Amino acid sequence: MKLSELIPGQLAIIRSINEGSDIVQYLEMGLVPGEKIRFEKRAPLNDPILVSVNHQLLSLRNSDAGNVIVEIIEEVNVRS
Amino acid sequence: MSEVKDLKLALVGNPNAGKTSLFNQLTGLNQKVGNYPGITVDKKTGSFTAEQQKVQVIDLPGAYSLYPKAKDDLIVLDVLTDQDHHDYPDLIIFVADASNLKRNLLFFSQVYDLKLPVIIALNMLDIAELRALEIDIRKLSEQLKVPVIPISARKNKGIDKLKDAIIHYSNNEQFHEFINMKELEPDFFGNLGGHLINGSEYGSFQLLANYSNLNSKKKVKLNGVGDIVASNKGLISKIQGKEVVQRYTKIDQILSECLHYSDKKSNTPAFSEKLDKVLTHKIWGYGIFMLIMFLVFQGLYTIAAYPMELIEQVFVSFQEWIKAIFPASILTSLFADGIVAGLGSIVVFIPQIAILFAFLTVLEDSGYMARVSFLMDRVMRASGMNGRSVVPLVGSLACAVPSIMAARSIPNPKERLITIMSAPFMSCSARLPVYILLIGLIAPDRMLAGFISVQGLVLLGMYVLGIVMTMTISWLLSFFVKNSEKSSFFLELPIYRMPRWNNVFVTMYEKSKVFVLNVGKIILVISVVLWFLASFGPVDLDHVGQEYRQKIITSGYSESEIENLVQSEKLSHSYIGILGKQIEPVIEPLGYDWKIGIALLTSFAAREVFIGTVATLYGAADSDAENYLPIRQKMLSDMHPGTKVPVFSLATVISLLIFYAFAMQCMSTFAIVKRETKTWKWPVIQLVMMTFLAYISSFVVYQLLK
Repeated sequence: MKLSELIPGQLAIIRSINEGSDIVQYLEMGLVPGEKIRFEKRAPLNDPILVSVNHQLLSLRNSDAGNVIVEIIEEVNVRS
Repeated sequence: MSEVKDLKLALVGNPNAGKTSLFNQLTGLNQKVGNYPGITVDKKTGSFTAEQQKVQVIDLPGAYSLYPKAKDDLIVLDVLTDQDHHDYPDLIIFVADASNLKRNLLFFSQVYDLKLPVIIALNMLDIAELRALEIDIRKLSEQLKVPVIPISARKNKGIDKLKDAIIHYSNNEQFHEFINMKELEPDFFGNLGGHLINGSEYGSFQLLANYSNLNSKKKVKLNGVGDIVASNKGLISKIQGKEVVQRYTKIDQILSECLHYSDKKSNTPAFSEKLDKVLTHKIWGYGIFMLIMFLVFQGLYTIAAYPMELIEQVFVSFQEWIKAIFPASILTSLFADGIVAGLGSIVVFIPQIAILFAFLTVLEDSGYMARVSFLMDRVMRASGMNGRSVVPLVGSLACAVPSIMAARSIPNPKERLITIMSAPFMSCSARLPVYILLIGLIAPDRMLAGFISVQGLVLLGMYVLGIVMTMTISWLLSFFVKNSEKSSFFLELPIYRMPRWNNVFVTMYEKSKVFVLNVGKIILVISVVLWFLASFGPVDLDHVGQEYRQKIITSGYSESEIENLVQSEKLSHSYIGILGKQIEPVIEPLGYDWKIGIALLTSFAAREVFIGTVATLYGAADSDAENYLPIRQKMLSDMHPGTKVPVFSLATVISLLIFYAFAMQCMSTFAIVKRETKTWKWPVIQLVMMTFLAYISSFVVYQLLK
């Protein structure tokens, strides 16, 4: 599923980055296939989103997050 | 002692890795901020001396890889792949964030493959420790084939060891490329053949990959390559992706041997996380943000007022002293009223610039600015701006000049330009005295419901109008300004940290200096021109003054009143006075007469000049402008010649209010926009656009209300 489809608290692993996008941009920010990624929260107007990879907080837009294909590995922790 | 050449050092690394802190530690106060020709990023250079060897240091902009996201990032590639470049370094210090080694090493490996000598300064080990990361530095150095020096830039640790390594670096280490580009894509690289640059295959590839963005001089150097690039665009993109993945694979391998998670439970900086819970909260996040913006505004408005007043007093006293000491002559007047007054109007901006940048540096350094971007991005983007545009806009409620300078922190050029073009629509502090004077002419001095002032409400309305117009203009501009770069928003939110105070002071000083030296020239010229236009006319003004004095001397006015009336008469016969009368037919449809015309002309340099000019025209002294009552009376009783129709009717005043809300009447803004956009084109467009908008709006308003 797409990174943009996750909900706060879910932990996932990055599977791939969509072909048509500027892959290097994702890779250089640390969004690399094989990395674990946690969906932290959404900005109040739903966009952008906040994720953490390798303890690093990253903010990206929904549209860009839609290019990151992930697989959930841990369901939501009870986190506010 | 023999002349030892200066050693050229370049600092390279990810943003937020502590590069700037290290730069400060190395160079201390021996640093300066300059310009790269053609791009807007600041050029930071400095120097230090160790063991009698002088080292020139350049702090290159932070980046996540050699692939530029924006035109401004190209400078890194430019400098590192061109041996003839002025700043081509002898040695690179790669500043790496130990708590994020994997990602940091990507950029390192690319820089390393450019075949330049590199030393890694491993920073933020304390944070790595908090995350239960243990790094075998010796092994890391072995695997990466470069010296790795642990440092803590903020705590000033390891700096001496680093300086030692710098002075004693030797270029003899055998070069083992990190990844082999030929192996990656044999066909493509086989065909490249003799097009190597600096003997570095990777460097050549980078230049190919960025070919379309290179300047023409560079393209000439790489002759023949243009065709290869054109016919292989898609392939080159794919190779980039492959290359990065390949690098990460190798990095993973290396880190698996050098990086371990200790048995201690991973304890990520809980403080930073807790803080974020509140600061990015749906409700509290925005609340706190507005509070902080309010503080920034108050700082600019209230705190800056004290030094500003002081500066004004100093310059006015200086003016008077000159006029007292030197014989009255054109030269004296030029010096006192033209030059000194002009200089005063420049220096008076320094407190606001210094304070705004102090705030900005603190917000940025602490890491909070990234959160602002996160919170405000969606809203700002709808108008073509960036989350970071908020601070320049809020700052513009006090003064657009430093705020436009602050817009430099917006990475995307289109968003930056739109922010700069829209900022002057915010109701700045110079408009306030004008608004107050005008509102006082038409709004009753009453209270609604006992505590809401009618005049206050109208004033608030003007502020709201400013904000609405700002957002509207930016929204409209977003359709016209070209977007030369992909618009994406990948933002790293660093952990919260205490701001570096010496950085704050250096920035305050540097920005003020830039303003005074660059913008100052333009303002000075305009001041002198205006002085000339107001002090001279086609006939001898002194003569006019004397004649008029004779005429009214018997009318029973006091000496000071006579003096004021004489000044008024002189002004209306000066060049600018005549110009005011000339434009009367043009401004009549807006409801203005020639006196208002003169005031409009004089306040094109600075809005608040309106008050002084009106004071003079209505026979009041400048100082009376402080106390509006006397002027107000005079203005209200002024009738159109030969009629009982008041000059300052409701329609006229509202039309005037609208005019001052939208017109560009600030030479300082004009000058700073020129400086920030590096061309005359945009400030001129801004001037024309705002004047046009002001004219049309005032016209419509007047015609509807009259």
